[in-house]
Amino acid sequence: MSEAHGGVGTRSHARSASHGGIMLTRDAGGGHGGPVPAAAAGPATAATASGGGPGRGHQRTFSHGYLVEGGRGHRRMASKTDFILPAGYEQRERERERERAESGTGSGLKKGHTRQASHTDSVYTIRQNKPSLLRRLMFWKKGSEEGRTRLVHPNHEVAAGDINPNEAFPDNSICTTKYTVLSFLPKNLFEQFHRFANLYFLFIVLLNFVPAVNAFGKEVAMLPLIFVLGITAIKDAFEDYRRYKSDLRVNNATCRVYTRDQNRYVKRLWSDVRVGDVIHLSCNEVIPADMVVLNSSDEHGLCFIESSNLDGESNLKQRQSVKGLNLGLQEEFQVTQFSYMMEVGPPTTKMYHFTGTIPLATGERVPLSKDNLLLRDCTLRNTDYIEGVVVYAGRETKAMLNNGGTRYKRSRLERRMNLEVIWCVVILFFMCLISATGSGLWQSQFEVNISQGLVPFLLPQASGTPLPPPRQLNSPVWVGFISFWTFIIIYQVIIPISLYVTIEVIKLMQVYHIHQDKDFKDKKSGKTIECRALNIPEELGQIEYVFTDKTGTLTENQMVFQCCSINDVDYSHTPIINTSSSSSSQGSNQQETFALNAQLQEELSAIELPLIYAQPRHHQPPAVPQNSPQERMIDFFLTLAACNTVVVAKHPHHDQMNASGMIVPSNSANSSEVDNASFTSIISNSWAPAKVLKGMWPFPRPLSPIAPSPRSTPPRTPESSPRYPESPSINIHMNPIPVQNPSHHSLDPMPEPLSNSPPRPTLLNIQPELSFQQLPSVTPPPLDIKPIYEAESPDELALVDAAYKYGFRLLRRSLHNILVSIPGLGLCEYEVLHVLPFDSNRKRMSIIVRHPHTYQKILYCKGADSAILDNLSRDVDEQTKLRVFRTQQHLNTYSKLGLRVLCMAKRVLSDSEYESWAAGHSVAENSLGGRERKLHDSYCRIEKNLNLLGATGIEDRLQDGVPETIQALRKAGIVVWVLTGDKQETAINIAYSCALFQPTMEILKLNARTKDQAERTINFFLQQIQQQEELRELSQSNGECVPPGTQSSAPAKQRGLVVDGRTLLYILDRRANLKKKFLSLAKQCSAVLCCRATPLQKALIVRSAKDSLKVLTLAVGDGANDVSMIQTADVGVGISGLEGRQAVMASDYAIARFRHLEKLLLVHGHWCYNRLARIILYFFYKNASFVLILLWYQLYNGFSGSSMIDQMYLMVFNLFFTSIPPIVVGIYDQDAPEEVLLAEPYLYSQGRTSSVYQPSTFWFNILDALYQSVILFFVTALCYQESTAGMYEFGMTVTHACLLAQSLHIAIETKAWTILHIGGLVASLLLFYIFGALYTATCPACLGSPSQYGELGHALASPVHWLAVILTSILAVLPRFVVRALQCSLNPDEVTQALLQHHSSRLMDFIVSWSASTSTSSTYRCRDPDTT
Amino acid sequence: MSGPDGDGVSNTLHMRMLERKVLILDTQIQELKYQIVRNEKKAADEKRRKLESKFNQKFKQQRLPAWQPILTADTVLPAFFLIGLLFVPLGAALLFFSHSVQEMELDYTDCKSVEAGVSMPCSEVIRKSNFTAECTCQVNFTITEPFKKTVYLYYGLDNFYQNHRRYVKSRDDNQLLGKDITSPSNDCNPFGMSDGKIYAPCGAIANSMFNDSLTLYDAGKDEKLKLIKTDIAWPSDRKIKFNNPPGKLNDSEAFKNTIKPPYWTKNVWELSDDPSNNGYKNEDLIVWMRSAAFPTFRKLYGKIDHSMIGFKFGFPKGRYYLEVQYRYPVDSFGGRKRMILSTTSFLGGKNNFLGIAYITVGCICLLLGIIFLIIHIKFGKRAVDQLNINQNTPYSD
Repeated sequence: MSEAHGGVGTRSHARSASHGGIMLTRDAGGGHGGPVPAAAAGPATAATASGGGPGRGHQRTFSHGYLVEGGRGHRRMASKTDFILPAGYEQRERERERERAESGTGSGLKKGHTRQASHTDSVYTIRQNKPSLLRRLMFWKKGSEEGRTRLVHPNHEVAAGDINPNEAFPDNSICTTKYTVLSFLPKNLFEQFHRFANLYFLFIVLLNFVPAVNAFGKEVAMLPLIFVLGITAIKDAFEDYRRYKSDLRVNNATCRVYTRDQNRYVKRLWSDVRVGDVIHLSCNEVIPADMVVLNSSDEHGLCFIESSNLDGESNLKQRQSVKGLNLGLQEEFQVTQFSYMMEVGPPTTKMYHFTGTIPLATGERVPLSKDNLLLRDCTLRNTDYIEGVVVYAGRETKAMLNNGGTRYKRSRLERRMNLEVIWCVVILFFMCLISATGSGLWQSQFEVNISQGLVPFLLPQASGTPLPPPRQLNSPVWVGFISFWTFIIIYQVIIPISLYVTIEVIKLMQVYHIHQDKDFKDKKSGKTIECRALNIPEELGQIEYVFTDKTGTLTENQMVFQCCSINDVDYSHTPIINTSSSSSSQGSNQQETFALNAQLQEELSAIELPLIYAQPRHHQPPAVPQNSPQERMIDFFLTLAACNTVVVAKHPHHDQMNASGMIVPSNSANSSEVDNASFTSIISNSWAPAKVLKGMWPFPRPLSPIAPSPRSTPPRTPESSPRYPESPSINIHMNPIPVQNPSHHSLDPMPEPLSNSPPRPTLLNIQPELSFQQLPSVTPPPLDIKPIYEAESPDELALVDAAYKYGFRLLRRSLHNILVSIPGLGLCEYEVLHVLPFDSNRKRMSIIVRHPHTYQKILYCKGADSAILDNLSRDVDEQTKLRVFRTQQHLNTYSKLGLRVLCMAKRVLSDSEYESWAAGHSVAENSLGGRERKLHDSYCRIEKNLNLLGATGIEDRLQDGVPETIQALRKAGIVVWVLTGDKQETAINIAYSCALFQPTMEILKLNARTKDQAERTINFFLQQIQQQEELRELSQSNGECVPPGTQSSAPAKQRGLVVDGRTLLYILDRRANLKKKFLSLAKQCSAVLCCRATPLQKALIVRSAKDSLKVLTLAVGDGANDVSMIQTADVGVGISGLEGRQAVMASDYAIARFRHLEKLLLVHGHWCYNRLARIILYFFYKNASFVLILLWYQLYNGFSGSSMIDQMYLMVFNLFFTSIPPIVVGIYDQDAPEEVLLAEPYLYSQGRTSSVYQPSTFWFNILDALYQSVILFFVTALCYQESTAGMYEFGMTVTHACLLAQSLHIAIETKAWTILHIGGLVASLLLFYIFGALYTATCPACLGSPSQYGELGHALASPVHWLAVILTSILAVLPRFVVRALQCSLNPDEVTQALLQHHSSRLMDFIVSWSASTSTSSTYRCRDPDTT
Repeated sequence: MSGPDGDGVSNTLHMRMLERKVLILDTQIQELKYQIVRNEKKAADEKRRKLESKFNQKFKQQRLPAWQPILTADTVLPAFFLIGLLFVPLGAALLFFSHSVQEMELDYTDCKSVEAGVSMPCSEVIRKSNFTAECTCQVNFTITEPFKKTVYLYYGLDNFYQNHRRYVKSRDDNQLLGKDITSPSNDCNPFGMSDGKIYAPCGAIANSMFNDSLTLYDAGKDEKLKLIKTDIAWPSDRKIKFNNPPGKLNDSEAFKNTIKPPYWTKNVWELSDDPSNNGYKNEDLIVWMRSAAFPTFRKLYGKIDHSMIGFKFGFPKGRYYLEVQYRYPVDSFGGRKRMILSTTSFLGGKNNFLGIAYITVGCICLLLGIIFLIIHIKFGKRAVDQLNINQNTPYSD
């Protein structure tokens, strides 16, 4: 079977290759894109086989790892920052892997090294949720069954009465809700009891049902549990209801499904779509289920989808209809002709993995791959319509299978807290043990007399007669044993269960306030902060290491074409910085990003293109002068325009079928509605890209014509190229017809067909259909409408855009050809022979085209300088060498300026050369084992002997406020690492300009080429630093004595460390054992810069810092290449910038700009940590003091476990009476106002060093609780000694005093009083009185416990009560008050000092302004940021 | 069509036109005025809304006006002095009140039987008879200082753990409410039911009710002092918590199918001769049923009837003796029994602790205040220096 598959596989490969091979080359990296069945796919699909074998449910969470799993996705990341692996790296890794495979110990991580994709995969497996044992057991059988392929019949083949074989598959309705109305209670309870806290609660409740043990009434004991469960259940129900609503909305969407009865498409609900249905979709429709494309409006069967709903990527992905079925093309396609069964693999969570075949009657098998599959929830773009057959529906679609829950992170504070909770358990255990022992001992003194019933307060055993001698019940051991359990019930409160609920509430509100903060709103993009993780706001206050990406994070990722070097002449362009008003006017106003270089324009226009190309048609290439500077210039721009993966979206899409499935011919008179509809679709598709493709464009694209009239020619800027004296001066007069729009005049009278394949006018002919009157701008000539470019990376866009501005306009790109308008020549359609996609190993991409006129096969290559320069042809004349040298000089200058550099090269292939390579390449493509390596080798074979065309420098501007932010972070003591894929020079430059490196810093560079060298260098640096340190300490000890731990001691020399990607490779290699040394070196440096780092290296660095240094890490990034880093770090922050939403989707917090990080960490992080730490401590204190009071009472009641506080109060005290003030403090207290925290970043060290909540502070709080409980109990007891007081009267006094003491305690701990704090305190006191009044006045006998009737009234009426309450509560908090006051006045911490200064300076301001007799109110108004 | 005539016509026309114009202008002015008023209203509305939203905004932005006290020496100083100055006099007053209370305590646990021929303590007498025999004993005492206010008679028990967990729970409030007499709560076990009959009242507390009867005699006159046995329990207890079942207080109506608790000598409806103080409403029972907080406690037994001759102004000095119907055994658990005569202040009984405690805490606070004053003077300079900047101080910025 697998053999047969394999055979078919190769055949189809060959066929695809004959189609141009694009499909295959596109997914070459993935390895399993081909029709090869998973089982036979070899090592490339090893991950699938091992991880995805059981199939369902293995990866429940939506891990982004799988998005980048395929080669495609990875390349996407790669194309952004050309991160670089040293040459030969792959080779070594492969060998290593082979060794490992042989030895059979290939760990997941190591295995990944060969392939970046699986590499990242393995990083993500860190976070993958394994299915529970139960689930695995339950699905074991099913899983084995699903391992086989499934057959899908087209539904229209099934006669009305027959049983549809597709019935076995689920329908397309989805249900993301967890519960139904009926199952809610049991299921929710079941889920909730998974939490340890709730189980503990339940255990205690059940304990209460044991008659001998029961301390409280059963009903009352259940109260806290019911309360906690209830609140959680309400929250869950609400969330589930929202899911239900959205399900309903999705299920009731409609699409057009083919029905056999009516022989046409009819409207149907999504939920009614079945597997096997044929569906018709128009442009911009959302795909209802996973389906295989059968037919597309495109002549090549192409269509595009946008998967932003699925993974946040807003770039277009190309899909292709199934080839090889005799279905007829486009309009002739008839659904009934599709009568094939499909064999498809079982549904998996892998987004970009799909295999299947269609067996034909002839015995052939047509392979289905991921390129044929449209995924549910994606949107159809750039295609008029498609028709496809559903293969997976409903919950089996990839979108649904990947639909997982949110991630749960546990913060450091919470881990600390859990540790203390365990301590509380220990304390509880000891308290119970002591009490139980006491109980037994106490009981033993009455042992003799109990049996005779002579101790009236000890109950004889319940049996027939009241006075028999049943020894057992009252035997001391038994009593001790029973009371142990009783005490667990009574002392249960010491484990602060309510803390968990409270903390959830507090964090939720903290996140709400972070979310509401206006300062996080970016005015430009209108984006604000997005808090995706709700449970780690306090982590923001404890960050020690920040790892940041450079491009798009520190910089704008707004690529501006700045420099280019052609023919060793440097042409620089002045960027037009448009900071004001900006892109709010979406698209209507054109924004120039740079001014054209006049000199270059001049030279371009001077080229007489037809001269170059006016070769006889069948002239052979060698005769063409290869190296003319003019041609190089043309080729340079052609490379810019053509050598990319930019998708041109231009023509409007319209579908003849209307929404209800009726065919409406577009010519007919009554089709106005459809036309309107299609027009709106035009509008939404191509004229409002800002809406459709939000967040994707690096700069506002000119949508209206660029008005290329001579009048609007950009003013020549004399300062545009003054930097390079060698550039010729500009003195050429402009042509009346500028070069920008030569196509304009050259196209209208269509030149005679220049080649066998004339430029297809279809595209352009659609233009007149547009009714331009309806567009806001002036009517432009159709061709001047700039097409909408959609690229995977902004670099490419910048280049294409630059080429466009110089007249080299990419007008259309399809699978097999590229239509480019060339100034002076008109439209040229190049046939695309091969696309050699970008990957991070080669660091370049190439395209092989056939010239339309000369038939030359030309390879255009674009890539990183190192990747190109190393592969230039060697045997060249001196002039060329000089040119290369000069270009290299330019490159160096560019990278020093902080520009991203790319080189363009060209190679003309002779036919024989090409043929032989193509043959080899197709073998490589079709090989099963080691395909990737072979492909790579094949690429490298053709990408050599290149001819350098020129180089470009693209500027990536720093974002606003980046240097200030980095400075602030560093002042806050946070170590900032920049991890970038950029060149070292570029990176260092950016590092200086963003204040990561200071001019005073000593920069250590780690550029090792071998492992030993790396080790030597690290050792050398370490020694050097040690010597320096010793010297410094020596000089210090001579001078004044400063404790060595303090950072603020003598100004240590600051160091910056630069590591490049290759050195990182050695460092991160586990066997080299360099990691520790490297980290200890890095620890000595205040800033680290890693350049040329791959996404995986980024993640590994973060992880090694996290694990080895035991620090809290934060990673910031904006692109897909940062996802792994973001997920590895403790806190992941995504910049919701221009590059898709992958980083945002993976992050815990998404901010709009890098500078927002400052406030997020320094203010909100500080606050959240400070508040939560104090609240957690307060909770421990609060519960401990309350419980200890009960413990003391045992001394007076024979350790019997009775409590003077009524059980109702016992239960409610923590839930209601004392929970509001801490919640208010937890949400709203500010230990220092925002201004102070921002002005004094060093205050952040409070959270960084966890100084608020240390183990010692926990024990101090417990000690304080001990003291307070002693005061509260014994002083009150002394007040009531020798009185007639009943135990509940006494209890009421103690409760009241305890409440007051705890309120005073939190009042002391409150740092900034607002109306909310006061309200919280008053509310909690009022609640005590109101509850008491209701409880003690309405219920003379209820709840099965001794009645509390009249207790509160009696207590409040008694003077002793009040005197005792006031005395004890004040005495209880006195020590804390004194200690706090002493701390603040004798040894204030940093925050207090800063506050004192702030206060005094404010007072001074006040005095100054007052004495200057200016109105104080006005000065205050000025300080108020709200008044505008 | 003559000139002047035409002129007149045109004049009147002109006048009319002017009038109309004035009218129009008037209306316009009116409208404008309305508009102004409307705008003002709108503005006011907006202002209000703005104010509201301002709070909202400030809340959301965490910028509510806040008071940020820093607990430095100078800020806490006043608090300490204030507390100290309040507490010390208050403590002195409390001490004074406590001293004004007069008290006399008499331990009668080991009192000897007065019966002829038996010269052993009553406790032994009843133990030997297995708690069936009656024993009476007398204890003499002398009042040296006359009590000047209403005198209360308490009985005190030591080492009696009325707050023991299972003991405290061993009661049925519903039964005592008079509501549900037919089925005692499980809490009452093993004093809930016996042979199908219900203990009335049920439970260990009721069963162990203090049943010594104390009578005071004036030794000189050999006259019994009258005791008032009502109004000794909490009013709320008397009125609501304790009620007799409907019907006559006997074993056929109200207490049908009940028996007395095992330790009791009388039935519940025989506790008192006063019908309003009988059954569950018997105040001795009510007092007993309120569990004491500590193992050493006292409970009110009665009030001296000050309507007796000589007792109008309190309790005159002289020789008295206490006659006890000794029924309640305490030696089995090492307990003691006491009789206490005491007056009260508004604080209740005699308790010096409160006064001493208040004075102590007040003194501590004053001391702390002084310490902080020193700290402020010695170390608080830094802050003061920063504040001591006037206009003449060079302003560096």
